[in-house]
Amino acid sequence: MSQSRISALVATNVSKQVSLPSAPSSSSDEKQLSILNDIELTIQDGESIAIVGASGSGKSTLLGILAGLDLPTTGEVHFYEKQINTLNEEQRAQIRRTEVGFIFQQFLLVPSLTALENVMLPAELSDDPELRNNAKVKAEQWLDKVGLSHRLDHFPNQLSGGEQQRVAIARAFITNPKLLFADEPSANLDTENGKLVEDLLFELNEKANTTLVLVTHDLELAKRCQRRVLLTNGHLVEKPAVINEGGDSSTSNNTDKSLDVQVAEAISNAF
Amino acid sequence: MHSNSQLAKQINTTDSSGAFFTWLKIAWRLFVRELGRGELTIIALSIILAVSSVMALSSVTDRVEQAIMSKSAAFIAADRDLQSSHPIDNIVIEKANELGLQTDKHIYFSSMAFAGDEMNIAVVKAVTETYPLRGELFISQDLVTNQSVTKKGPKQGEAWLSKRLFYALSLDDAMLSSDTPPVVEVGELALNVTGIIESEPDAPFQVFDSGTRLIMNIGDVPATNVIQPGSRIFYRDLFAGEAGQLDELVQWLEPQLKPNQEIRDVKDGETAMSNALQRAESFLMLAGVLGLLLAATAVAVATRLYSQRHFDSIAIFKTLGASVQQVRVVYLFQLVLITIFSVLVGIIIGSLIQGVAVEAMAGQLPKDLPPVGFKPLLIAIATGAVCALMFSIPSLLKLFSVPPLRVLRRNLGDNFATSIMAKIIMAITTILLVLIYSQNLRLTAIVMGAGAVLVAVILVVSNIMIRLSRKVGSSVGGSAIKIALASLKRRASENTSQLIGFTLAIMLILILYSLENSIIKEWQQQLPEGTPNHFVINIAQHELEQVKQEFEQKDIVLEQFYPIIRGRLTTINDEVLLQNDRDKDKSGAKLTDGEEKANNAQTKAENRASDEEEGSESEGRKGIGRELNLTFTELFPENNTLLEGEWMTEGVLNQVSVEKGVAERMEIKLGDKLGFLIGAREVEVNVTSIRDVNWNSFQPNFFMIFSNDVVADFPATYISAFYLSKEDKLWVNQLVKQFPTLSIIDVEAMINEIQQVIEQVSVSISFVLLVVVMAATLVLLAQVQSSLDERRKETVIYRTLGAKGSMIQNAITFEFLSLGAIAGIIAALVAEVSLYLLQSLMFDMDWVPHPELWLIGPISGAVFVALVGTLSTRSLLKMTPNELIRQLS
Ligand SMILES: Nc1ncnc2c1ncn2[C@@H]1O[C@H](COP(=O)(O)OP(=O)(O)OP(=O)(O)O)[C@@H](O)[C@H]1O
Ligand SMILES: [Mg+2]
Repeated sequence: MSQSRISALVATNVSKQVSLPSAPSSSSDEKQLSILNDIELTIQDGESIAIVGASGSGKSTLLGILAGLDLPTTGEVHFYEKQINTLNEEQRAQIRRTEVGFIFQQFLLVPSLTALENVMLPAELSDDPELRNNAKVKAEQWLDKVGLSHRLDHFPNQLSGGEQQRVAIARAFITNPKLLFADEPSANLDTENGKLVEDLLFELNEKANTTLVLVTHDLELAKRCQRRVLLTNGHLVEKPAVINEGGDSSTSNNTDKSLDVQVAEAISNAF
Repeated sequence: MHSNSQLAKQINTTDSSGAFFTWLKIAWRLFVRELGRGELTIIALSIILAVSSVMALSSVTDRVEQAIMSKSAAFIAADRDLQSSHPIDNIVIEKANELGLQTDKHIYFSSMAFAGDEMNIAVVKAVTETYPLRGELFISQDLVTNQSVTKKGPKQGEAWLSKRLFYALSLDDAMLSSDTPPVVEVGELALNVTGIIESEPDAPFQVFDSGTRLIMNIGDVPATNVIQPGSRIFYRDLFAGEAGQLDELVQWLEPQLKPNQEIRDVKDGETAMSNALQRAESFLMLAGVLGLLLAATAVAVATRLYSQRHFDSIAIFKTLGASVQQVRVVYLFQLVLITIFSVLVGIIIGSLIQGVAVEAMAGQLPKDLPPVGFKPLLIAIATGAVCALMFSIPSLLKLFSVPPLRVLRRNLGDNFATSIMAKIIMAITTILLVLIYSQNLRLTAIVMGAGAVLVAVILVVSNIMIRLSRKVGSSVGGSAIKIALASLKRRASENTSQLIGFTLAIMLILILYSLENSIIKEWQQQLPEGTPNHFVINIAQHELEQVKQEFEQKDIVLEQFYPIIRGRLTTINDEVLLQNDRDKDKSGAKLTDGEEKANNAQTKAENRASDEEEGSESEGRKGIGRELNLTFTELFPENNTLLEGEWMTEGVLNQVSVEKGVAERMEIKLGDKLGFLIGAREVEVNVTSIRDVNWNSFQPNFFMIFSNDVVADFPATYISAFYLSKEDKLWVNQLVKQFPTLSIIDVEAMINEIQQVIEQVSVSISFVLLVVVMAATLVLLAQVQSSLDERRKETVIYRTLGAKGSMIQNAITFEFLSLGAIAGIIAALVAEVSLYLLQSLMFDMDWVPHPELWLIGPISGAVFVALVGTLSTRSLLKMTPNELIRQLS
C-alpha cells in the first residue's frame, strides 16, 4: 500500500499513569502505576498497523488513548492534524461518531437490539442526515457483506460468537470511518471462526482503504498488517526484528512457528 | 420498521429535528425490545403497583371516608349545623340555599302536652319536611306489629311521639293507624299523632332526659303560642351538601357568629363510632402512604437494577460516538415510555380493583353518594409519574455518567454509590409525596422520624456487620457458610442498600399488622357479641324490684343497675366554685346538654367547651357549670380503669371516685374534699380514687361515683342496659305500658350500623394490608434480582472450580437467611419506635410494647427473604457453567 503524505494519527510523548485506590488497610497515600511511557507513534492514512504485546503490557490502554476514549496523562494525540487530547468528551464523541469504527474482543453489541438494529445504530447517531435516513438499507447491505443477511432479526444472544463479531464488523464499517480500531478481534473465538473474522476484517478494510489500528498478541494476525510495533514494559518498540522478519506477505513459511516462540520469548524476556 | 423510516424521511425537514426524531425512534425500539425480553418487567411492575395500589387505596379510602362522613353526619342529621340559643336570622338559610346546599331548621323547646285529661311534659323538636338531611328517621305507625319505616319530617298538623310520651298521655295505640288518629295538644295547637318515634339520627342517647320526645313541623310552632320571650328555646340550622359549598358557608358564617352560636362539623360530634372510624381512616391513610413508600422503593431498586444492566449499552453508545445529549434523550424517552406504559396498565388494574372494592362496599354506603370520580385516578397517575421519574434519577445519573472506556476496562463505573444530591432529591420527593398524599403534617413528621431512625440503625448495623465479617472471615468452618460470609463481605455496600429495602418491607408490614390487630381488637372489645342494645332508664325506686322481676321472668339479663341523683359540684377543698349556670341559658332540650349520657363521647366536646370558657374568664375556679348525674355503687363499673387510689374501701365513709378528665380539668387530686349540692342538701365527700372511663362503650358512665353511705337515702331513679333480641321487641311496649315512667332506649340500629361499618372497614384494612405485602414482596424481588448478575459470575467461578451445586445453594440460602434475619431485627426495632409515635401521636391509643414483633420480625424476615432469594436464584444452579458463561457475555 502506498503511504499518503497525511498522517492519520500522531502520538507524541504519550504516557499514562493511573492511581491505584489505596487498600483499606494501608495508608491513605495513593500508589501511582505507570502503564505507558513516552510513546511516539505516527500512523499514515490508509496504513494498517498491529500493536503487539504481552498480556497486561498496556495495549488496550494505548488503543483507548489513540481512539479518543481515554486521555493520556502527558503527551499529545493528533487525529488528522487535529489535537484530540485537549478536546472535551463531547467533542471527542463527535469525532468518534464521524471518523472512527471499533471492534472489540467481547463484541459488545447492544443486547436488546437485533443484529440489524445494532448495525444501524452508528448511522442513526450520525450527524449526517443522508446516512441517518438510509441507516436501514446500509445496515442490510453491510450485514450482507459479512454474510449475515439471513440473521437480521436475531438478537446477539441468539448468534454465535463469530456471528456476533461479524455484526460488530458491519457496525464498524457502516459510517465509512477513516480509522478503524480493533482490540483482539478474534481472541474470543475458536481458530476457525477467528480466521473467518480476520479475513473479513482485512478484506473489507482493504476495499474501504481504512486506516486500521489492530491490537493483538497473535503474531499470525499481526503479520497481516503492513506494520507492527511491540509494546513492552510500557515502551513502544518500532520494527522489532523478531516480528518484522516475516514481512507483510500473507503466505506463511516454515519459520512461522519458531517465530511465534521467539516473540513469546522476546515478550516474556522483557519482563 | 419500513414505515418508520419512511415517516422519518417525511418529517426530516430540518436536520436537527430529524436527528431528534431518530433518537426517539431508537428509544422506542429499545423500549419495545426490552419490554419483550422482560428486561423492564421489574421496573414496570413496581410502577404498575404504585399506580394501581394508590388508585385502589385512595378510592377505597375515599369511599370509607365518605361512609364515615355520612355515618357521622347522621349523628347531627346534617353535614354542618349552626346551634344557637337565640333565633337564627333567615339570611343564613337563604345564603345556604343560594350556595346550593340542602337546609333544615329546628327549634327545640319544652312544653306541656295534653291529651284529653292527661298531660305530660314534652321535649319538642320542631323540624322542616327535609329533616333529616343525613341519617335515617324511623317512625312506626303500628305499635302492634312494631313495623317502622323511614320518614322525612312530619307535615304541618302532624306530631310524632316517643313511646313513653304516647303511653304517658294514655293514648290508644289501636287508633294510631286508623282514620281518626289520636290528638295531642301542644300549647294552643292540636296535632294528629300519626307515628311513634323509633329512632332519630341526631338524638342518639337521650338517656337521661329525652323520654318524652315530640316531633312536629316547624311551621306549626307559631300557632302553639308557647314560644314567649324568656322561654328556654334552642335553635338549629342544618346544612348538607358538597365540601366546597359547606366550606364557603362556614367561611361566610364564622365572622358573624354571635356569642351563643356555634358551628358544628360532623367530626365534632365525637361519638363512639366516629372515634373508631376516624382511627380506621387514619389507618387506611397510613397504609396508603406506606404502600406508596414501598412502591417508590421498588421503583428505586428496580431502576438501579435497570441501570446496572445498561452500563454496557451506554458505554457502547458512547463509544459509537453518541453525545451525552443523545444518550439522555434516548434513555429518558425510554423511561417516559416505560412510565406511560406502566401507568396505563396500573390504571387498568387499579380500576378493576377499585370496581371490586366499591362493589363490595356498595351495600354499606348510602345510595346517593357521588361516584368515585377522577381524584384517585389523578392521584395515581401523578404518583406513578413522580415515582418513576424522581426515584430513578440517581440510577439514571449514574448510568449517564458511565465512561465509554468501559468497553475496554470492563468494570469501570461499577461501584455504585448514590450521590448526596440524588439522596437529597429522593428524600425531598418522599416527604412531599407523603405530605401531599396524607395532607397530614403530623403523619409526615412521624414518617420522617421513623425514616431517620431506620437509616441511623442500618448504618450502624451494616458497619458492625462489615467489621464482624472481616474478623470472622476465614475462621468459621463449613464451606457453605464460608462462601456465604465471604459473599456478605464482598457485597458489603450493596448489602447495606439491600438491607434498607428488606428492612423497609418487613417493617411496614409489621407496623400495619400490629395496628390492624390493635384497632380490630379494640373494636371487638367495644362491641362484643350480645352488647346491650337497649337502655332502660327512669325506673322509680319503688318499682325497681318489680321491674327486675319482669326482666327475670322474660329471662333477659340486666346489666348493673345504677341509681341516679342529680347534683352540683360546689366546692373543692372548701373553695367555692363559680357557677356559670349553663342549664339556664341552654335549654334542657339541647342535645348535647346531657352529661354522663350512657356511652357518650359527646361529653368530650362538652369538656372542651368548658375548657374554653375557663380560658376566657379567669377569676377563681370554675364549676362544671351544670348539674351532674351522680350515682353510688360499691361495684366497680365495667369498662372503667382504676388509675389512682383505692376503689371504695369498706367501712370508710363519704368516698367519691372521680373520672380522670374532670379530675384533670378541675385540678382535683386524690384526697381532695369535694362539696356537692344535691337537692337542698350539702354533702361533703373525699376523693379516694380516680378512674378512666371508656366513653366509647355502650354502658352508662359517670363522672362521680359515691360510696353507698353518702346519698343512699335520696330518692333516685335507676338505669340499666340489656340485650334484647328481635323477637322480644314487642314485650318492651308492654313493659312501658305497665311502668309509664320508665323509658326504653333502643340503640340497636346504631350498634348494627357500627358493626356493619366496622366489618366493612376491617375488610378494607385487610385488603390494604394485602396490597402492602405485595408491594413489599416486589421490593424484595427487585432487590434480589439486582444482585443476581453478580451472583451469576460468582456461581460460574464456584462451579468451574468444582463446587457442588448444593453447597452453593446452601451458601446462597444462608446468606439470604442471615440478611433477612438482620433486616427483621432492625425492622422490629424501628417498627416499635414507629408504633410508639403512631399510637401516641396519631391514633390516640395507649402504646404498649409489642414483644411479638421481635419474634415475628426476624423469623418472617429470614424465611421471606430466604424464600424469595433462593427461589429466584435457583435457575442459576440448574445451569451448567457453560450456559452460565454464555449468559454472562
Ligand atoms: N484504570 C486503571 N487502574 C488500574 N490499573 C490499570 C488501569 N488501567 C490499566 N491498568 C493496568 O495497566 C495494565 C495494562 O492494561 P491493559 O488493559 O492496557 O493491558 P493489555 O495489554 O490490553 O492486556 P491484555 O492483552 O490482557 O488485554 C494492566 O496491568 C492493568 O491492570
Ligand atoms: Mg487488552
